[in-house]
Amino acid sequence: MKLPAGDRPALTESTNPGTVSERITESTIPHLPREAIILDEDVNSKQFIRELRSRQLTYSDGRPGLGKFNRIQIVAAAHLFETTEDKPLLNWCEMHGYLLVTGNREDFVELGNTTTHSGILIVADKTGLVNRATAYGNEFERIFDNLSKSQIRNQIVRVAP
Amino acid sequence: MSLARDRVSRREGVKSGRPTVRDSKVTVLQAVDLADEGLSPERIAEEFYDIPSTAAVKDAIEWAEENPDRVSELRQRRADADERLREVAIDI
Repeated sequence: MKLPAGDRPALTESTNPGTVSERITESTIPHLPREAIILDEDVNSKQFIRELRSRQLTYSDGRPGLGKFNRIQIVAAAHLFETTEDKPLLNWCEMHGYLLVTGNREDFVELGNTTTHSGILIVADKTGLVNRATAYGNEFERIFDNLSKSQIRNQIVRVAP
Repeated sequence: MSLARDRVSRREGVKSGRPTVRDSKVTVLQAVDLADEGLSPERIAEEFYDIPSTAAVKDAIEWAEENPDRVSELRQRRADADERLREVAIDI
């Protein structure tokens, strides 16, 4: 499903989940950017998403391909599937090399330890995504400044600013 | 699968069947926590793309108020998961 580097679309400011949803509907999943983090519905807070997008998140280790896009697209899982069950979502993220952000530690801690995946970031306090969105944005920025995809593969990160 | 009076939803593959705000993946517990921190049902519904309506949030909170034992169970389960998460998570 992954496109060769030259065929991947350049990222733009158009990170509206509705736009992504339309792409999915048109069966153009391969056109999603290679560098993205997927937000589970329970962390799909508008304030939090604004914080993430405003930071133009990047990985800092300069892996080939990342510089091409120079930022990570934030994609809301609710717009990817009609009903997003936990394990299929995690498998889908792995298939596409996407990191998954969720607040659901009750299920994803276990899933993350029994299934291969591209990395799971678990938000420790979901109310903080609304009430302390900036602090969470800062913490995500710090994490991405210190992590590469290879380092986070099959790992779980607890996000707690 | 729906619970009492369809005020909340429950699907086996979603949150392991824990009750969620109707027709969403946001758990009832999350909505209650946000309400406890002073957010109105309107604000909660506005804040999360996945929540279909203010009425769905109000129904979830009402369900929680009428099922305190179930809510306590959910909080305990989350606390146990928090402890496990601290054990397995990597440091950045």
